[in-house]
Amino acid sequence: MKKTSDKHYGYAGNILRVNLTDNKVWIEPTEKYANKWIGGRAINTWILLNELNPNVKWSDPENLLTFGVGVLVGTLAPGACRVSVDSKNVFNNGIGSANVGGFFGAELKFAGFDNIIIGGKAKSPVYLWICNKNVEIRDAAFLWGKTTWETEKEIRQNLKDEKIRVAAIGPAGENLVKSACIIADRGCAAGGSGCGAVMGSKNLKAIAVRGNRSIEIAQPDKFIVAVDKEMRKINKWQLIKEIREKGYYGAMGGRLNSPSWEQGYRPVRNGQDEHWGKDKIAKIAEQEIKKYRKATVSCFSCPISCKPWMDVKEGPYKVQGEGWWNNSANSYCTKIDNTNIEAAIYAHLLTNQLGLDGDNAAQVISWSFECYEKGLITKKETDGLELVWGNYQAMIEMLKKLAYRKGFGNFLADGALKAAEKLGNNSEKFVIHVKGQDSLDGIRINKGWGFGIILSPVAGRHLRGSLNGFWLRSDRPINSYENVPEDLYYNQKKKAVQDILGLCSYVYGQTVDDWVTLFSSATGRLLSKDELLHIGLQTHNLEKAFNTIHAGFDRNDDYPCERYYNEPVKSGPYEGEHLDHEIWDRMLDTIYRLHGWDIGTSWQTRKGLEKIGLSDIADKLEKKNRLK
Amino acid sequence: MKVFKLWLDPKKCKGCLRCELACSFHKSGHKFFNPELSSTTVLRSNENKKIIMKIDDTCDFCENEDAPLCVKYCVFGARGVMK
Repeated sequence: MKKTSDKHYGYAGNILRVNLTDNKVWIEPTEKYANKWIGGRAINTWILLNELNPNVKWSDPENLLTFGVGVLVGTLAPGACRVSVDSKNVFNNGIGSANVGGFFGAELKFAGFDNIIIGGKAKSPVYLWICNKNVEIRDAAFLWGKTTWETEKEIRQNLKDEKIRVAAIGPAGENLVKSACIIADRGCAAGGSGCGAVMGSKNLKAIAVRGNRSIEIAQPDKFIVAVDKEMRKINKWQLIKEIREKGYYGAMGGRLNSPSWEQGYRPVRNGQDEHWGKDKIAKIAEQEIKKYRKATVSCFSCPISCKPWMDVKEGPYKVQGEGWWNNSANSYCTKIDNTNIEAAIYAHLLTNQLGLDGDNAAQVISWSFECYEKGLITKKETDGLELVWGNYQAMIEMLKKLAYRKGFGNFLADGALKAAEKLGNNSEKFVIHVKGQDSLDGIRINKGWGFGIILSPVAGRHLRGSLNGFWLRSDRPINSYENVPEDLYYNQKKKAVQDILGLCSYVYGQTVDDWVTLFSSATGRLLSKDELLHIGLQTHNLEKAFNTIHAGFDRNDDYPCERYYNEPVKSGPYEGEHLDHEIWDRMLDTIYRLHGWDIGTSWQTRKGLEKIGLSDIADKLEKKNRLK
Repeated sequence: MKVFKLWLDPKKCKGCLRCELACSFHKSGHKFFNPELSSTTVLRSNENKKIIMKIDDTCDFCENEDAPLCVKYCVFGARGVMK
């Protein structure tokens, strides 16, 4: 990468290192990593791969919890607000990764930091207070046990500054529940991989940050022209007016006539089906949601404002706060077969307060509902709760029990696969997981979506390049396998670049060419489109290598659960749809070939890694006898 | 020197802070971003969504710009130039 100046244009310039065992903080220059890995997710992953011993478990003090703010965050680049949170995955000790928006990341850059790398374990609960380059590890006894909402409020009151941004864990993270997430700004979740439990294992309750430093731009005139070009595209988007008014769910996925209800994005009754009746959809679609939506709100530097502000004004589910997503309709409605929208909104905002990732938490709970249906568990095991489909009171009770590890919640707190091991009786048959992690998504119908989820190095989730989602549509029919591996291979690279730059997937119209201009003019580092995508490809390969070394994954871990082959979709326009084992095998062969990985094991090869400039990673894998 | 008078509408504001970024870009002579240097501030409560918008007396009405940058970069119609 060619640099036009020695200045850290576009960057804050520093990486904060913290060791909670020794109560020490120190700083290293971002430059040490930026030339090769640019920023955000890629720097995090590189550090994890190089500094973590494979014997370290997710809950060991030696594990590292890393926060990487995207390079364009802190500027007018539209939707640049995202932070990548990476660590060991609590479900399988492979790579864990979550991504969060809001305001926390920008504030961290204004305080002077691009990344935070946290190791060790505090003797008692602490929080990190970052005020520009002054960093303190402070006593958090007064915060322990509090919800994420209370934590933000108390820290702001304590430090007397309403502009402080807080990323915190709730009771779920404190209790090392595997579906625990980290909540930033009360409503934004770094969800999946259990990164909230990692934070809890370090006795770290929160990170509070405030900064007043500047982000200098290398070529401001060129940069602002690129910003204006992006803005023109966004403002011309035919849906933009509606999204700003109704949010993403109200304008797109949650519309009564949205294709999302029929195209398999929404698993029904723990994935028994991928289609829900029209009468039920009508009770949770936009026409109902709008009754509780007070407005929409934005993340930092976002011109979309996709987030609805929800307000249930009275009754047992009285609550107000930010957020209701497509995923919320899956987690608290279709999966549990619940049509009580007030209870569902309450459940969503409750998970934010408790620090639970809704996707993971709802999955382990819906598994328990299915076990109840099949008679594998009874009221005796569930502390008297009747886990029958549609019982929203039981769903809410279970969320609380899960976060506090109380009674039957403790039984579920290590994820559905672990619970099934304890329960026996073939109950693992109903566990919907990817590489051990409870999995949100339906994948029988939408093949490009599903293939991306199963191939994701972070054990499921659709944010590692899954196809056909968001506003990105191809001409391919939704249930077609055609060109899926080829398109996913490209998208895996592109998504890595997006995370490195800190851009949000919901912002319309982004192309890699646009990113090249924004990145180069902001940082003064000259990269071509191919070079940028190449770093995306390398980043994906770092995650793959991490999984091979730390979790021992191979080809066998790239298949979906048996249910998706054997139990076809039961209703709707795609009735009868299921996955085909032989085609899946062929798709695996194709994508491994594209990556230069070994077809038999899925492991990386020396030839493939050398071709993409990662011979040092090949050496690492060879030492572990996991290179082909 | 052009002098603009601005109106603010907190009901339309979404709290994205692009106005603060744009203002700091102007005040730094198009060199950097730093909301702390902005003459306009937006505070959104995370508890009830209430938004407070302000412009302080350090605002130079975007001297030398074609239009006030905080207005140009607000896409939600939450601020504008008084006619």
